[in-house]
Amino acid sequence: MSELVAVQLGPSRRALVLPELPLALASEAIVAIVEVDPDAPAAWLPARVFEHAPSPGARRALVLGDGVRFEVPAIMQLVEQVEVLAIPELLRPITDPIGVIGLAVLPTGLTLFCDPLRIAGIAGSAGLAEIGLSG
Amino acid sequence: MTLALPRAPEVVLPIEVGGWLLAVDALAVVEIFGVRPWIAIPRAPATIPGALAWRGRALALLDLGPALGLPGLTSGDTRLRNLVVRLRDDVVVLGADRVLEAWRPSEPIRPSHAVEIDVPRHGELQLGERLVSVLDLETWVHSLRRPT
Repeated sequence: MSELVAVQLGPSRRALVLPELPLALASEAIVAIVEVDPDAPAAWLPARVFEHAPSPGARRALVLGDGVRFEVPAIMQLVEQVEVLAIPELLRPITDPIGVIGLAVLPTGLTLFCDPLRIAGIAGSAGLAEIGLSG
Repeated sequence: MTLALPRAPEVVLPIEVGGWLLAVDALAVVEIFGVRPWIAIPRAPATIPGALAWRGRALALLDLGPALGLPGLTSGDTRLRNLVVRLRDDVVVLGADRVLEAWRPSEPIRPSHAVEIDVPRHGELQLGERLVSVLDLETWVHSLRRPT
């Protein structure tokens, strides 16, 4: 049974930082963080962003506003008021399809800032489940 | 869209990258800083491997290494010197190992004969006993752009 209570995130711009990747996610896109549910398949988000994504270990599922789910590493940290620098225009054709919209300035250094709703191909989750099934 | 032909620079700033002696338009260089952390962008080409923060904004980091047959940057720190270069419609960072004194050539820039450099050039100049390839960064960056 699930031990993790779903976390309801507010509309303010905060970042959900995944230090193992490292990656920061726009929290306003995320409705809930839940236990992985084998009956609700979700793509492994790191594989949608990074060329060499780590293999899934302990995982949680992010539920996005449109019902799409992504699995992410279980270790995460919610950071308030993250400064986000816009991606340079020269890099946007590369970063747009992977949902990276900026660079988050964290105390640990620069981190990619991703809006998971903008990851190409997440609309129509039938294909999503085929790509990233894990576990 | 038509592009105006880039003008050869009147003042050049020689730089060294992996033993290559090159030069850029000195008047386009806004700032030079030392080693700085940068962040790799997934799936980016080796010539634009990532970005770094500069004065509250993120700038694309250009690496001449692959165009010179050298290993590209790997994540971590930049090269020893970084030139912030203002282009017509962008500001970018160009990594170098060493930056020499800016110089106003007395001779015109000659057509370039070097074939080993895979970067557009205005031509070349003689600096002492060495030839300096004068890079045309404007044209190079334009060629790196991908349609959105």
